[in-house]
Amino acid sequence: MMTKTIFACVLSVCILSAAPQGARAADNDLPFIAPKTVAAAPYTVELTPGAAVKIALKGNTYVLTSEFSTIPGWAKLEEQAATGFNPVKVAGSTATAETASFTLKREIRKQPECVEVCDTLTNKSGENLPVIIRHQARLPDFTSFRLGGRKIALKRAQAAEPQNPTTIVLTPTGSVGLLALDDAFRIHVLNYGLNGVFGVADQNRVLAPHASTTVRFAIFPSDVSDYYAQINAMRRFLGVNFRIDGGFAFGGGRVDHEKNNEGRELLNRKSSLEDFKTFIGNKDAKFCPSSRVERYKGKYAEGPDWLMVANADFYKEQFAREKEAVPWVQTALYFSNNFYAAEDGKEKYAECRLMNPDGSQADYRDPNYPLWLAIDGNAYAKDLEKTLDFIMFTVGTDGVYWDEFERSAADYHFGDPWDGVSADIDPQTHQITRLKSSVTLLTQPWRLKQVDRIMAAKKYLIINGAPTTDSMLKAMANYKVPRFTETGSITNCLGMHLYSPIALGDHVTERTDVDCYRWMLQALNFGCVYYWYSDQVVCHIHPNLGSYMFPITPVELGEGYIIGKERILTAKSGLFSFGDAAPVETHFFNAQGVETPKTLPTVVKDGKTYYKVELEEFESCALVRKDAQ
Amino acid sequence: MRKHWRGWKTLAASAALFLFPLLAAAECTITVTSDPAMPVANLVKNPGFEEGVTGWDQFSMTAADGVTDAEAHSGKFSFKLIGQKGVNKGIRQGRIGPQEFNPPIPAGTPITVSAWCKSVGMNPDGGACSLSGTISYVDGTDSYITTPVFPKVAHDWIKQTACYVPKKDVKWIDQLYGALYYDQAGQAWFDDLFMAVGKLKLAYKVACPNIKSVRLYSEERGLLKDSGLLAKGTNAAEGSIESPILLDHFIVQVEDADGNVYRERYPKEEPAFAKAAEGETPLFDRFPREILAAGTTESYAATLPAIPAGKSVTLELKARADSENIAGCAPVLQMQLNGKDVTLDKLVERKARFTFADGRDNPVAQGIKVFYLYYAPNFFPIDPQNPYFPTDIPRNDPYTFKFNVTALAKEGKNLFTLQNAGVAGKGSAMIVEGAKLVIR
Repeated sequence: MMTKTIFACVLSVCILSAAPQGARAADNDLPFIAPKTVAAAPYTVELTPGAAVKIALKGNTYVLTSEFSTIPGWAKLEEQAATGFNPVKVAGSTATAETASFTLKREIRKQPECVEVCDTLTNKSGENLPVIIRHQARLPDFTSFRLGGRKIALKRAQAAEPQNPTTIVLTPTGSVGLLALDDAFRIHVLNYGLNGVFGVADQNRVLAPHASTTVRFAIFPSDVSDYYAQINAMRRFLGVNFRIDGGFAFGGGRVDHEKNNEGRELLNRKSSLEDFKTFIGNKDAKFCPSSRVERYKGKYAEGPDWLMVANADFYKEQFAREKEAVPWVQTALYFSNNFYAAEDGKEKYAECRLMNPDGSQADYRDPNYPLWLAIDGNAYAKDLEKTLDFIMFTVGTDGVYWDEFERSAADYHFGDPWDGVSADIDPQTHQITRLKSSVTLLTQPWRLKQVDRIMAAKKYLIINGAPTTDSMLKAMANYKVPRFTETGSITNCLGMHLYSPIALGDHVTERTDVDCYRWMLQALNFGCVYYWYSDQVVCHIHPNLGSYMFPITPVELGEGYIIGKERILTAKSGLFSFGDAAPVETHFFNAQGVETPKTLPTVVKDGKTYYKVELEEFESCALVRKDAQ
Repeated sequence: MRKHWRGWKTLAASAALFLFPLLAAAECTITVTSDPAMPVANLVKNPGFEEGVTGWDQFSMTAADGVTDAEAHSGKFSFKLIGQKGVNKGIRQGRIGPQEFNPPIPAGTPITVSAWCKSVGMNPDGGACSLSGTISYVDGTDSYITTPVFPKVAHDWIKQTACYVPKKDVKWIDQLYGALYYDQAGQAWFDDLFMAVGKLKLAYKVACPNIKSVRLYSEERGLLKDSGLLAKGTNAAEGSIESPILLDHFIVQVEDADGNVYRERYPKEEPAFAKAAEGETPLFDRFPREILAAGTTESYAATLPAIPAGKSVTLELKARADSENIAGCAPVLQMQLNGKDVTLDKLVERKARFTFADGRDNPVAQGIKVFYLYYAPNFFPIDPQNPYFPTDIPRNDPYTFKFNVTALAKEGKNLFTLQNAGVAGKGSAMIVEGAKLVIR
């Protein structure tokens, strides 16, 4: 669940972070880490007589069967034969099948590192047709598995993480990854593992009368038994290794001379130029949105109600001072599309309410903050567009910071309009219990339009949270929009593994620049780079690890490090290479995050220059290509 | 009369004495009565199996099942059931109480059942380890009643209590299944069954100069009644509660304007406190465990001996947020010792973060002074197949906390404050056991 980006009260705290890998290892224990040579996986794939997908790779065979609910019972595509279908015809890479209520056309597409499976289902009836869909493989010799990126220590588990809709299973000789692809499948996704059977399911799919839908997913066979090898293959397939231009920090927007609990003044428009330079410069925050959220009649005003109190001159003055102090900084203001707390909401946006199953309006766990649906053309969406215009053109920022972009505290809307694909389905009877609508799917057309508008205005956009649909992922990757995850729980980084691997700092526990540095190391444990969060923290250490993080074009993520085209960042010991012999400058940081001169020995192996990085607890290293400066 | 640290006095009292405030002696009289008088009669015959199986029918037994002296919660005996796959076994007693209740038990009258159980080797996917019971209504129909259910994990002696409130007049209590072990593995022991019908009306009267406050505590439920700050010069107070009849113990605690605290236990028996080992100073002397509702604070005094040079003082306790099932964790536990916060940097043996079995990472504290407690129904080990099973906490025990409080503790009087940081009226109760200061 994404949280709102708001300023928290300050407490003095010292982080006791779990140490990243950093114990010194003997030379022959240090791994050689360089970008893998990407080649098409030498697998073979076929549709079996039962239209299951059979993949063979270096002595391993994986058979993925599929099940589709019918009323009653199931129709299954299995290895030897299909059941419940009448009949199944397999011809090369396609298969057709039919039940009393729907037709199925299956097509498998061989990609360099995966098999893409496309199942087009067509409802033969004039009624809404519920279909529970499961795709699974039996892997009894598995050694470990992850659902949604999380390593599971249970015999049976499930996860529903649209931002990382993966089931990844490691065996002694390889691995298999399942990735839900189409928009509805990602939103509905259920990744599961049950006593050696692993799969990906959609338990909420509905076909409208006579409608067709194509359910897409991908199977990643690999002879490498490693989660990050799977994730990197998926990242290449999705095309999300785009350049992340610069650093980020929330800053400013405080009322004049506002102080924190310790009596220190927070960055505001009356701050000195020196304070602006220190704050922004030491965080290397190319992108520095003001996160100030104002109140209207005592309530936070984060939607169109903000315009009732927003003062453009207030922000213009601050941004002018920021640019005077730091000419390269890119300004932005906070934007959110889920809230309107003013009293007249129910009348003004009567048709835009986000509804609970019981007929009440959903809220942000507080009835003072009801939730609304920004659907293209409705009154709420139109007024939000005015808010965006205010930010981009009245204040004239360089960009927009968009919070809770995919959805807020409610996943589903129970009322009109219907998204056309979602329902609660009874697991026993397979009948529809009730229709429901994904907030993400309902608002997606409008959000895509606004993204296009922002890009057309040549503004930058940074977003809280990973994409949860294929459509949004493609649009975002095309525009190279950086998105991050909040890290109240560091395992949230797993949600960024299929997009821009960026961790926002943890504002609850970070109180000093050393705390922030150590959280950077936690983020690197998940292969993520770091964006600064709390404006309560002024960084006095410069340069710091964050100074060398950007720009970065991810090539590979790993546990403890990230390899980019321009730089390698690591919190783990190893012999690191860019895969060539290009000259590199090295930056070593001690346990307090202070850069300390250190010469790294090199080893040349197979024509590649490896830099020997040996780290103690809380130490880290950045290797930066000189030709990337 | 039990002596405590200065300012705490326990008096035996059986009659109310009216004291004029002009009397010099600081006598404080607390009278507690109940209807029915406690201990309340138990409707179950031979509830602890001290008479063997007298009064009990058995079904699906093997030679290994039955009354045993190898384990007992109290007395010498308990009833043992060995798990067998596909076999539902148990014991039952028919017509609990009179053959027929005359007059009938009125609708709305609570029927309370409790039992103690210990188990090893249970199958979490197996059948129930529980009690069961049926009643017949005056109108000729019958129904099951709510009865205790025990967790399907290995556990030491645990008491479970259930209360059923019939909506119609009850003619008789058909039968009580005093021990059920269905399609299970391992073995379970049952002891000290209890059943009662009706409500307990408990009343107390206090006569004491300059009463500041009067509180009523229950061992099973925590603080039941709080007078709040009474007006200056209050010399008498009284109160009452009404609740289902439970196997419970009560304390009426009176504090006067000088800070003296007086207590009266009801019934008078002392609860079974764990014996303190050398170097240990227990912090709880009211009950072995403390129950704090969300948003409440309690303070406890303890006297430490001199702390030898080179020794450390550790604060140790077990804590959970009360819940029917294991359900994650929440920031609940907050503590002070001698007015200073017990903070994250003092935590020993545990790291600042831990991981659930489903892969999610969690902090052990919110900020530096509010600690996350597991939602749990008891302190027993969590099934490794539970998604909330903590994979990287020592002994996989998320309930035990130890803090090095050497810098906060002192020789002599120490004041320990517990706070349930949950939202009053919304958060769960916090259960704390075994709180102690240890010098080692």
